[in-house]
Amino acid sequence: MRALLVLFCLSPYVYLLTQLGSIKRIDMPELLWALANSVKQASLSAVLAVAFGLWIALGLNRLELHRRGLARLLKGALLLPSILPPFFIILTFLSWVQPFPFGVTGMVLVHFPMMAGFAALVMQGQLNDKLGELSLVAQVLGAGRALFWRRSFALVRREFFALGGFLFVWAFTSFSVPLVLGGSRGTTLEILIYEKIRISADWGGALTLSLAQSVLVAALLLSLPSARPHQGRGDLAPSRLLCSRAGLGVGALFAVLFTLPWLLLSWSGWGYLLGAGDVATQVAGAAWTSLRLGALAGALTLLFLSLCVLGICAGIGRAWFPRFLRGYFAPSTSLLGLCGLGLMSAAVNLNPGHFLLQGGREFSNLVYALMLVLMFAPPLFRVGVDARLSDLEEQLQTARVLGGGPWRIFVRIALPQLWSRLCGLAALAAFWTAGDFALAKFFFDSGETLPLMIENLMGSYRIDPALSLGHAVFAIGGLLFFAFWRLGHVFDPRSET
Amino acid sequence: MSLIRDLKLEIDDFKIEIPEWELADRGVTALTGPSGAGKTSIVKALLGLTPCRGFSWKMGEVDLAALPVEKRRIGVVFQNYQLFPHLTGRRNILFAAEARAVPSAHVEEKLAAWSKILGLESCLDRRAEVLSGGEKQRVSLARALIGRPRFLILDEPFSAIDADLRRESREWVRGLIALEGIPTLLISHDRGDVESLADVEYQLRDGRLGLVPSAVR
Repeated sequence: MRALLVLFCLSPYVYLLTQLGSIKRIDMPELLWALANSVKQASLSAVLAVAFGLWIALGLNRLELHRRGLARLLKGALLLPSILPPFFIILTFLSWVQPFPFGVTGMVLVHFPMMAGFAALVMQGQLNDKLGELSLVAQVLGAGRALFWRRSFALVRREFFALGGFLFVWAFTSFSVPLVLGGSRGTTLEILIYEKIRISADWGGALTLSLAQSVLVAALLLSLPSARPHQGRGDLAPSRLLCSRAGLGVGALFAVLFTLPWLLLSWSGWGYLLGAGDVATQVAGAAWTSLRLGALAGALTLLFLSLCVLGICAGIGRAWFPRFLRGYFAPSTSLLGLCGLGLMSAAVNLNPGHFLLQGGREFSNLVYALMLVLMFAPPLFRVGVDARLSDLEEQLQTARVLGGGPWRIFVRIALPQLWSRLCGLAALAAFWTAGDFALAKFFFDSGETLPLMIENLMGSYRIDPALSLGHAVFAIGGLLFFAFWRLGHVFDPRSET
Repeated sequence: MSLIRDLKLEIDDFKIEIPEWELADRGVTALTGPSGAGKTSIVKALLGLTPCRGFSWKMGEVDLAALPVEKRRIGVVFQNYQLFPHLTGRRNILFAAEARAVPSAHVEEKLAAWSKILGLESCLDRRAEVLSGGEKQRVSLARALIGRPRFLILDEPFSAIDADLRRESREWVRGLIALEGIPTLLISHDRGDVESLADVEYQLRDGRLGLVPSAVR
């Protein structure tokens, strides 16, 4: 079973390898142009996200010294842009910045604030862990901020490079933002692959670009420095050398910038949507589709994560499977789209390039949801399951010593203690699916789901109706989130007596 | 008697070598040694939780070292008891019984008998996470014994409880082990534990095992 799970995770890459025969000669000028755009926007976004992240991290430290509750609230608000579906952030910027600078500048303008909150939270943890104690000593010794940073920056440099590298890969493989904001001058590698599939039906070209991109991303990930182990000193209150009042201001500004447009209900947008009869019907149909797809992707994510836990229970003491899940990086959106379309067209015996034109969509819902599982489940596993499983490791070993088989250990020990967490993660996946338009672009026609309708409206610069539909997506995502979250309490371990 | 041969462990730059070690069929064998001597590493190797090639543990015709962890049928009480916190005391004990397919009549009979010795009643219907240290220890011992193990390992079983309770605990542990007649390996660095429970004592020092003659009963 573990081998099957690994194969499922690697299926996009395996698919690429099986299609090597269709690879064609790369159009080098086109590739280099798209690659340059990708690298430019990703590197600028990563550098700015790290710089602002550091500044905000120092601001968060200052707030935590005085108001811990408020600091928690600000952290939540700062993390929202990284957690919410990207169109929420894109719409925020389209409503604030007019006229919007489409192209590389526009992508950087949206990418870096999207990642800065996440970067701030990671960096705050690293700063306090690696420099917290030192900063207290330095303050007692009378060191100023400049001297302290000059002498101690080397201790966190590697962590910052690792984070910067990760953010670079994040922006490099981003699909939604370049799709909407890239414009014709800012086409990235991801978008070029998408255009080859959906616009020019050039399957061989898309495969070639996808292979090149996969090799690049793999090389980037392998070259990233790894962060040093946690030193367990993050609970000390940091000294003023690790605090910044201005950073707090920047953090607060970011939080307001992202949340304010969504708090201002756009009545004119609803007026537009409900005014035309056919639009209202279309919205209702799209809402139903989004709800169904969200539920399906959430359920499949729950199944996948549960199978991963079962796989770990079956291989207690053998580290390769959890290590694989920890190290696995989700394939890019375009590769998942390519692989999904390839699988569907193979199932109905059609040439992949003409699949969509022939209207063969028998499996599109299922394949789309499976591709979303590949996209969401690995980071969810790393963030939500891995650490908890490490805590449970001794219990799993004890259960095995007592004679428990994999299924018994899974059902009696692991699942009851992880169930609510797995459901919480599935709830997130369902919420993200309700707001996904990037991968949906490969599988559905425009306007078939709510996010695709929003993307249409954004494309034609009708921001008010798009914001209003955004509230509908939020409501559907919230409903799905609540449903999965409640499911997590059905097997509440406290009921096990 | 069971016989362990060629147990070799390497922990960083530290080595443990036990060419031969005889463990009695009845009674308690103590393994003592200073902190960091490698006692817990030996326990993990015996349980099969640490990969250790080339060693054998013959018990009659069976080589326990050649069996997978779950098939060795070893009962164990860990230092921190390792109860499943979401399960009640009873469910913790039943987990081991069901895993070893022990008939329910036998389980009920044993639970009734042990309840008198260990005073288990108060622990059976409460979740393990709310049990006191002494209660956890009793449930953990019952869980280790319910699966009719070939061998019992007690890894510093008294280290997490206070001195008064420790004396009392030694009494009922000794009573239960004698009643069940299961060969037991006691890991401890506490002289009191060894003197009140052990029939034979081996000391681990600098990676070598030696019999302590004065401790042989």
